[in-house]
Amino acid sequence: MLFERLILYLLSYIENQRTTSSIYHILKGKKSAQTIQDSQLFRLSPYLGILPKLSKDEFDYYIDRLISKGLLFNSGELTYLTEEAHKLNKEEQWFSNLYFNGEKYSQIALPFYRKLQLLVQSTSHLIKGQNNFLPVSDNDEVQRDVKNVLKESQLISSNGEGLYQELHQLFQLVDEKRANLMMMSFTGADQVGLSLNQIASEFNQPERVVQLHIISTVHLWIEYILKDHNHFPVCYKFLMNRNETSLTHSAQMTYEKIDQGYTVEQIAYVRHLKRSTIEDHIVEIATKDQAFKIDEYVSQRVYSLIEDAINRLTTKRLKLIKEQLPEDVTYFQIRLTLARLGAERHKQEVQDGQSF
Amino acid sequence: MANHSKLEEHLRTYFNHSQFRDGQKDIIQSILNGRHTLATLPTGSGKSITYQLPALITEGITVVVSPLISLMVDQVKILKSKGIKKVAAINSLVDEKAKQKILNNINEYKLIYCSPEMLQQERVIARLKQVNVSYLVIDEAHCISQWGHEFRTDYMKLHTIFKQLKEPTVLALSATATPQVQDDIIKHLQIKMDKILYPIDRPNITLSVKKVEDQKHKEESLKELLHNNHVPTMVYFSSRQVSEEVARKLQQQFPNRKVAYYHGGMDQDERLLIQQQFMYDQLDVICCTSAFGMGVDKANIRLIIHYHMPSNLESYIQEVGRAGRDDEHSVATMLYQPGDETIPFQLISQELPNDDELEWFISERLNGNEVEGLSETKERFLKFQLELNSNIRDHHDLNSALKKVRDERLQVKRESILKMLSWLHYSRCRREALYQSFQDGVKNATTYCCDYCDFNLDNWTFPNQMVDHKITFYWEKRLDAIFNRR
Repeated sequence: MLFERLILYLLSYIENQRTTSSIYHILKGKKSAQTIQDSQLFRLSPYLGILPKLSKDEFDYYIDRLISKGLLFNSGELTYLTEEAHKLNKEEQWFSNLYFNGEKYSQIALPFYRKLQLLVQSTSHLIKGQNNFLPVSDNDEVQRDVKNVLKESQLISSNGEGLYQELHQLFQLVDEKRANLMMMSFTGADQVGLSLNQIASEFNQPERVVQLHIISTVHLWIEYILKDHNHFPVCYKFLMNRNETSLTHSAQMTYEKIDQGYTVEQIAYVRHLKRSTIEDHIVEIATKDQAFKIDEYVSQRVYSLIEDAINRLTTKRLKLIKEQLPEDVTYFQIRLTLARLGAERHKQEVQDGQSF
Repeated sequence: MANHSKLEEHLRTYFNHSQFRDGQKDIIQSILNGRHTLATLPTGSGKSITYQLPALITEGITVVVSPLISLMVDQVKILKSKGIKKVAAINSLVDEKAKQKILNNINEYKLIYCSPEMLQQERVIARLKQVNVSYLVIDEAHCISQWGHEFRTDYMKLHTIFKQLKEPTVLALSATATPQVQDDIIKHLQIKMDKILYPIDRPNITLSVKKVEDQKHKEESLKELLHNNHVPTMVYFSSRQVSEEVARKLQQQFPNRKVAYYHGGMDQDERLLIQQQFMYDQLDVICCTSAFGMGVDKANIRLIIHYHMPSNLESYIQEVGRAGRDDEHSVATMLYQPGDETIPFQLISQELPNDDELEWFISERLNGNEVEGLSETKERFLKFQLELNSNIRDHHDLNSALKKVRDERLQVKRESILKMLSWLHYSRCRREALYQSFQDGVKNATTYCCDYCDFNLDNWTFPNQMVDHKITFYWEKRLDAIFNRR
């Protein structure tokens, strides 16, 4: 039940407001305006995209388990937590101290980790004078970036001292158990790394739990390296040119058209897309780019109406909000307003020092 | 023959071997002399060197047609790990940009691995026509033959490719080709070929079959076998799920050994780790499907166990051939439980389209629609047969024509299973029975022959060959080991 407890915890954030699928989409990091917006509204952006390969079947299995354990129940189309579940969520749990910053790092964490692993394997073999070995990653981008780092001769000295020191610091950032766990995944000339499944059985933990410990550690490492990148010249190489909060490619193209003065209809027409798709893009842009002006789509008057309704209802359910508003207010406008409100609330909290 | 004496030198330079293995040199000399050659060499005897070496020492480019992407990727990887970098693979997994880059710089390569589908692409062919292709190698050439267990329709177009590439020297390679398949290969390529046929039997591998009553008995037999033999072991399964389950049970039974599973459903990164652990003796037992093995060049595999039967003798020979590449004594055994044959029968019927799928595909295609959702093998079969029968206009006739071909293929596959099954039940020398359809006569076994002649599996124990491989648990100690700071 360890992994399910995390899902149960996340579900408490969206209870009454969204279906369980929204948590699935957040964990998976679905690139839709709705998911990105949800993650901000419900303050779940740390978890955005931390499990990109989670399947819906597996997720549903966990939900079913939670229901059968009496921790969740369905009512209408929504799922609610039982009292026992709320009590459980208040307890200290295995993930309570895990650091995640999915919104910023989910896209770059895995490639960074793969590159670091291949660099360590390469360095280990080179130190021992073994120039030919089978790389632990087949991925072209991973191989190319590692090769480039190896080519910059001042970065990796003949005994790998610099990389050794960087790793030593990084491993000391986490407790010993987690450091041991992380190290098992690395391959050197001495030993081939263990797979997730094997590490899980070494530690007698579910695979997903081990995986999240690894992901959390990688997020922490990235955060630390970026903060103090002068002390991590080797690792930082893999984090330069990163694109942290990128728009989806399609949204990016829509953004360019908006900048050129096109209307929603015109963009839909020239791009051969549905109007609703373009609206999704605009919501995505508004969510990610706080400087983006939404006045053209939501007048000040409508914005205030929507804001009032939201505050009155203390809900983020679109349907309930829409029912309270004049008929000519569209879902699109409500979503845009939510995007703005979410971003502002987020900004306020960060300024207040309540980071999560 | 000028480079006759130099061949060994080249072998040392490029592959760090001091001498050729049986058969390699004859094949190499044949194609160096410009003879079209059809060659058979047993699995694990270094087939690929027979074209890799000529490719490296001859002007021009060698094009290798390979049916499986994973096979290609592995070959390229292995060559690169040996320091041979002028190699590339072109297949559907390579993205457009990378493919274009390879094509633009094609003269910088010595070896290009190519899937047969890619060779159909106008752009690829046009580029290859501009350069000097010295050899066209057809790996797994039995794929050309309808009588082969792995008939691949796109292989039938290779004759045209050969013509377009201005008739380079052809090398058709296979580990398992019956005389019938050999004739088919030559017929389809429409060229005169020298045959160099090396016997594919492996005298250092003892063959055996153990019949069990039921599932429980099968598991017990497996455990007993592993209890008696602590050596590098592969256990083959037809089902991914069962391979995982049995691996788990074995790990529980043998807590001091390392057992892992491997199949095509796993992440690529995880697969690489498991493969390498096995190569470096960090694993004792690997429970795998046929997805494992290609490109795995581990010399000291002592025991190969089949938990499920393969669907043909060719596959069995290939899988057994992974044992004992160091020429030391090894044992292969198949655990057979009555009714096991239903699995391969089910599998082959899933490989080909059923009536509904076939009719649906045809009517969609005739209406000009793209069809999605069929498995790769089914789609490939249907596309090619439609192309082949494009003269048939009538919808109904087309349905019947394709069903007929489909049924013929099914029949070939069924017969293959029956041959596998009758091998299991023979009461005569298993070695002779296994290899008889591929060659004349077999060599005497170097140690034990088979359970019919002289071998009793139940009493057999290999001396323990596993080195103790305790994994280092503490991160700091491990970090020091990685950076050689002990």
